[in-house]
Amino acid sequence: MLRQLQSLITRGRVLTSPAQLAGYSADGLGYKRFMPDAVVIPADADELVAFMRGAKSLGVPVILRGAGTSLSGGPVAAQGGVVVHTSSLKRIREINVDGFWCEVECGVALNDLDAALKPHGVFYPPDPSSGPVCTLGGNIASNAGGAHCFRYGVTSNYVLGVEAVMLDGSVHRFGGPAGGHGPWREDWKRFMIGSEGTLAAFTRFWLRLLPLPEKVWTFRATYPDVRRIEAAIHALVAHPAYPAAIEMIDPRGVAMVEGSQMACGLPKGSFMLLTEIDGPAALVDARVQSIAKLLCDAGSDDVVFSDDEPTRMKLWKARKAAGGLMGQLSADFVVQDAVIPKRALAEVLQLVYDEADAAGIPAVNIFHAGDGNLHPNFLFNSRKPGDLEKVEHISKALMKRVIEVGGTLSGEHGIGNDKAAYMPLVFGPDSMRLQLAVPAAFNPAHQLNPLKVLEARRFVA
Amino acid sequence: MSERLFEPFVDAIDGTACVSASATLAEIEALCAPHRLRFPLILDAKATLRDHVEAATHAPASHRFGPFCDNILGMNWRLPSGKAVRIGERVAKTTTGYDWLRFLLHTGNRFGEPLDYVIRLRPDCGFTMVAEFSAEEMWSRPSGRQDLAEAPDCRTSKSPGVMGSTRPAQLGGLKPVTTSPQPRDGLRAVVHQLLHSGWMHWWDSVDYICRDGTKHVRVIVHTPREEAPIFETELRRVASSTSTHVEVKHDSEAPHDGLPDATIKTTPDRVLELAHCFPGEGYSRALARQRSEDSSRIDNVVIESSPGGLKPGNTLRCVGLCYCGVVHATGNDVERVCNSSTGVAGFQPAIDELETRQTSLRVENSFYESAWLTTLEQALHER
Repeated sequence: MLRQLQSLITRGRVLTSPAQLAGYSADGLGYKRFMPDAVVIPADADELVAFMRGAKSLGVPVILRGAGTSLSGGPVAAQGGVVVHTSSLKRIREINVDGFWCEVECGVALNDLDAALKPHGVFYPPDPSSGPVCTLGGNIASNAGGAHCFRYGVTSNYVLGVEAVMLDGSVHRFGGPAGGHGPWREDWKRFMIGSEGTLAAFTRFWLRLLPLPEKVWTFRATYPDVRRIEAAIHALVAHPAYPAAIEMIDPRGVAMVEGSQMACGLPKGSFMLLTEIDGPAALVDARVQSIAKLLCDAGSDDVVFSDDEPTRMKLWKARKAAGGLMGQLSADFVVQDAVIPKRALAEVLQLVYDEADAAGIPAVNIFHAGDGNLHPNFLFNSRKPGDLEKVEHISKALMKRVIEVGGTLSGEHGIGNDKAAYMPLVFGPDSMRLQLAVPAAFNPAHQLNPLKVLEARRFVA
Repeated sequence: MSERLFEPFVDAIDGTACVSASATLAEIEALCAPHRLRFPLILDAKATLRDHVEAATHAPASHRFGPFCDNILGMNWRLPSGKAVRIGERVAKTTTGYDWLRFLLHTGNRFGEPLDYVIRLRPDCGFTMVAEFSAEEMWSRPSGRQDLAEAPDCRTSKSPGVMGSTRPAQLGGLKPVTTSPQPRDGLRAVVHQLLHSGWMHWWDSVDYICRDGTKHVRVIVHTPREEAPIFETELRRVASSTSTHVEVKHDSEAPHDGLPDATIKTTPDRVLELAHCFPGEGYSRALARQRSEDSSRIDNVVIESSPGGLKPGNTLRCVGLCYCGVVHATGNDVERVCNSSTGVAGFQPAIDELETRQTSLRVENSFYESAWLTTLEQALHER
């Protein structure tokens, strides 16, 4: 296989040493490791196309990978095979300010795009917290979200077109700057977005842009109990100011932050809410007091807000620090990613606490409350017998309840191999048949990223 | 497990509702109003939501809230086999499985039909303001590809041996940034200012309307009454700085343009030119050609026609949804329109060039598309 790979990848790199492969054995999910047989790094799109054309004859799974920041066990070699690292395709090809679109290659890091757009007064809204390193290819493959999705929406709202390479090496453009179908009868890009590398390799995208908001106010409020913070969230959701973000940290998350060097003076035992409004100065300045009053009326006596950039960043400090602190507190952790109707927020949070406490697994909730997008973090030690099973038991109980209250398995992380087993909770036999038909159409042998999204997707050479 | 289906509901906290696909927009409005919520994507209050979805991908308020596919979260869908399945969710965010919702939404009845929609609602602020900008200005024929095709890295090349495939060309040097000089006066300048500032997010719609040789820019604002003066100040500032006239109507009903007979999708920077092609000089050969070939889209400029075709006896009217890059046309005089050698036909070179640049060969597309569709249709028809 090595010789075959070296004949397909002549300008890029082929990695085979165990030390090199180890870096590709996991994604952000961390504790689930799968060593690939090889890693290839095509030098450019032409070489990626050449590789895809020859991939069938390799007879092993092919796994597309951007920065590997997925949190669902997505871009990993769950069934062995070759990982294709697309980091070389990182050109921003065009920024069309008048047309509000840009054309980018799949390996462009999200924050690099933001930096390129900013001088032109436009931005690309999806903002997963891995922005400094995550690639647009990964974002689009997993339909990434972020803190500001409450108002701005997720990745699929901004993808106008996708250039995709099939396993026979054919290249297709689904859409383009106008966001239509192109010459196709059907809108195939809809299946590509969020397909987690199971249908095709992506080379480039056309993305929709928005003008940058002129001014931002950030608010932080703390609440003594979940009912009061829930009331604040419900009121914010209905407010005509349309907050850009509505984030929440539970008391365990607050305690974690306050017990660290990132402490920022949050009251012990409190629930923290972070929200943001943006827009023209004349408009947002007029809305500041009504938002502050709303937060107070819901039961907070600790509301802080600012439009000053350094102060705003301090208000965000606890939220941003919390994610990073997990790794310091625990050898392993799982971040779940369920979305629920917001009326069930308190109930489902209580279920998380009850299940986790009963199992002796610490659980910390830091999440996108405006979207009802829960991110319970379960801290455990994968080397301690029984810990992983406990986490999986809690996760299953959580997902079952999430579906019962009308929610869904994943809001922004994707299914990967972490949640594929839960898919029958969502899809009955007929809708599962439709789900299976999509990879059957584009990648019938499941050579691309097998064992992801649907458990039945196993590659047979 | 058995198939789950959506039951009718209104969730005032999440701002979602499950409504029948045959519910009219007026009925949906009546359902939402007691909860101080609204479904803003309205073209015709008497038409059903299914009619809307079949006639258009966007409505004027898509400027602020996105197309129908971002405001319909789920569906109960009747498969060709007669079975009903649930597609999508009742929550706004999901990455659970392949996105059949957006794929099926605008497919008419090719793969079955919608029974119910789960829609996303927005806060009803109770106050709507409509501003109309007007100006005297000269228009010239659009020059088509001027700003799109110049970028040296955006060529499409064909790879021998892979029929009709396209490859990214190698990029050398700096990334191209495309901007035009900011227009100073007239409706074009109005649209530019309304779109290229932080205010853009807060207009419900910015529409360029052409009818019988007249044209104006319509801005719809939906906001709490106490904020209306802030918006009006900005609207008047825009009028002043662009030498245009603005008339602002307070506490107004949001106007409904009706379901379009034809829809053209392009990029936002081309909407005014394209919209301007319609009323004065007729539709297009492009449109006629597409209709006769039963192929509803031309690449970067997407042309769609409503199931009912062009309505006879109406006055030709054109609404350009400026940020959405959409032109809705409602027209009469089908023969003149379709045979016109001017008007949108003048836009044809731009369409052709865009097509060349942006797409793979149709031959290959149809080969692949047929294969993909065969697989999907087997699943859809299975009993």
